[in-house]
Amino acid sequence: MSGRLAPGLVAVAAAAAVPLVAGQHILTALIVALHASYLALAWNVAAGYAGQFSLGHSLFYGIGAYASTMLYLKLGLTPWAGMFAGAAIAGVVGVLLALGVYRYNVRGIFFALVTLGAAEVAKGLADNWDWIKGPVGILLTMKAAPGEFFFLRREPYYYVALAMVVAMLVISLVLERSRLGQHFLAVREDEAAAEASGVDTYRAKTIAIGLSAALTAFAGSFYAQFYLYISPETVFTFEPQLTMMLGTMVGGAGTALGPVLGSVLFSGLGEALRNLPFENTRQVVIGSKLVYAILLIVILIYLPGGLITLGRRRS
Amino acid sequence: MTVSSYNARAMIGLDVVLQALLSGFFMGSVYALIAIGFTLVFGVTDIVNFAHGHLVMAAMFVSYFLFKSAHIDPYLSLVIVLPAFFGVGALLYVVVIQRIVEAPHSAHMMVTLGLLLVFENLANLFFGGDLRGITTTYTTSSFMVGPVSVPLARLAAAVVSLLAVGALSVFLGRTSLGKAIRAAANNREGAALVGVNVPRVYLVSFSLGTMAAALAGAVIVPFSLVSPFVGHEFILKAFVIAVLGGLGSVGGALAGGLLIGFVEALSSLYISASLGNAIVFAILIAVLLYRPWGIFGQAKV
Repeated sequence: MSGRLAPGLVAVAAAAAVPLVAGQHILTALIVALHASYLALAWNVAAGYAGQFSLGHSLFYGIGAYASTMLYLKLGLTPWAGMFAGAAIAGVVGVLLALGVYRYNVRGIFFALVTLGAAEVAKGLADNWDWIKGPVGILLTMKAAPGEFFFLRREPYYYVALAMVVAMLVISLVLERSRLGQHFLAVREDEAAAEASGVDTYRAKTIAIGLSAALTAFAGSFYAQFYLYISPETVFTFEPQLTMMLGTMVGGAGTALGPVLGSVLFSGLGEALRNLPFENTRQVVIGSKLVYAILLIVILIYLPGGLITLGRRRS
Repeated sequence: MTVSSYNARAMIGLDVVLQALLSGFFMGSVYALIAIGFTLVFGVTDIVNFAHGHLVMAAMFVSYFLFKSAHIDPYLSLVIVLPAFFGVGALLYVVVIQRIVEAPHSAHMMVTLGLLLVFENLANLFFGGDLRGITTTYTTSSFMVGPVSVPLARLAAAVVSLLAVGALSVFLGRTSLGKAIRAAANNREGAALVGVNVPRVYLVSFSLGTMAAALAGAVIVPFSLVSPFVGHEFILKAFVIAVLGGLGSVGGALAGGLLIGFVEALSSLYISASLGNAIVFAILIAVLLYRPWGIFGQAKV
């Protein structure tokens, strides 16, 4: 660990210095990349380390977004605190979902479908819940109120997003070296064998989902504060889920750096393609999604462990 | 029309309920065909094809353009669409699916999701995101049976779908290739030992599944709108139906398809339409928890 600490600190220091040279436009692109990286790392806790391939993490993302926003609008609670409340709610929902699902021994593809179904049910309910404005969504007003997580410039958002990714990386690295993390890996590799060697797999899987859910919710709150608009269509749909999976699976599931690598690559690629001198921007956006999709397929076929395995092979 | 149909919710007349059940039966038959293609692929190759609904969408676009540019009726277009999509399935299998058959489920899901994105964005790139539809001579035709009106285009789609389901069952049950497919689905190693050409069986199953999706797409074109995004609706329905029927079960998928058709029609009648999907998924979750082998299936082991 100490051998990797120095380059890590240098990287963080360099990232922290970026706003000194980058303009608002580049900062926006970097915030998007950091947000995607955070999301991928949060999903990676359950899907990568513990092998629980959830397709319903948009549920937790949406809970985070709506919890901090509603607490702010109805009770005046600052989203800085509201995001922790959202994480707590998402964590509880995640644990309850996991307790139910694992109690009935749902696993593999069936687990993926149940979680996908849970997110779809949540979207249906959100669409029909007038108190949170249903399908219309909620608009937050742009203002300068740092105490309430509102900034006019990009720099503060950039530092928050960067801090979230660094925290998430530390959590991932600590997890990798912890007993709990070892249990996660044991569950992922062979559940029956893990059970036989004394691992409480029911408990390990439930913690994995609960922890991953709570961490995902923070990203939802960040989304609400950064974009200032949330709706069931933007936070409860498959879109955030796709962001998490693309980055993680392309970069390398079950590693700390893989999800960041994959997410930054995808965000950067999208940004680069958008800046090509084409006239039809709509087609460029669609074209960039097409490129992602093809890259995803090619990488999963030829590098099933993700891009991160390229570096390992050499060393 | 009787007065009762104007009193929404409070009193829904029997004729309205019958009408809803009929349209539920028609759409349910088409859903069943889509789901059977999906479940056949899963049952044999163990691959969950997230792109299945987008194959329906692709076939819808092909039929749409054959009608728009060459005035070929969607039913006539089947002569082109079916073999073409058998070929598309074979190509997809050889180029992509074959390489991940041995990979874990997570890779199956990610790669087929990648295919979904490829289809969706290709369609969006070339055709744009607008909803399009065609009007055939029979698009709005219907006839009355007692109090209910029977829309011709939907009736035809249901009949063709059910015939296709029947043909597929006969193929799987009676022909030697069909028996080989079932053998490979039951026990791959065993089938290989008794001389079944497993790679060929996988290829044929995936192609047949693709063809089933294409057939469903072509027959609904006369009365459905198509856009690059309609595939999501179909894949979600296929998931639910296939699970209800027991993943891999053709008969179960037929029953599940009709059930979902009825649930969808009745829930839009009695509850809000936007809650329809949530209800369908709540059913899915309940089934997965209590009877993961499906409502109509039997527990394995």
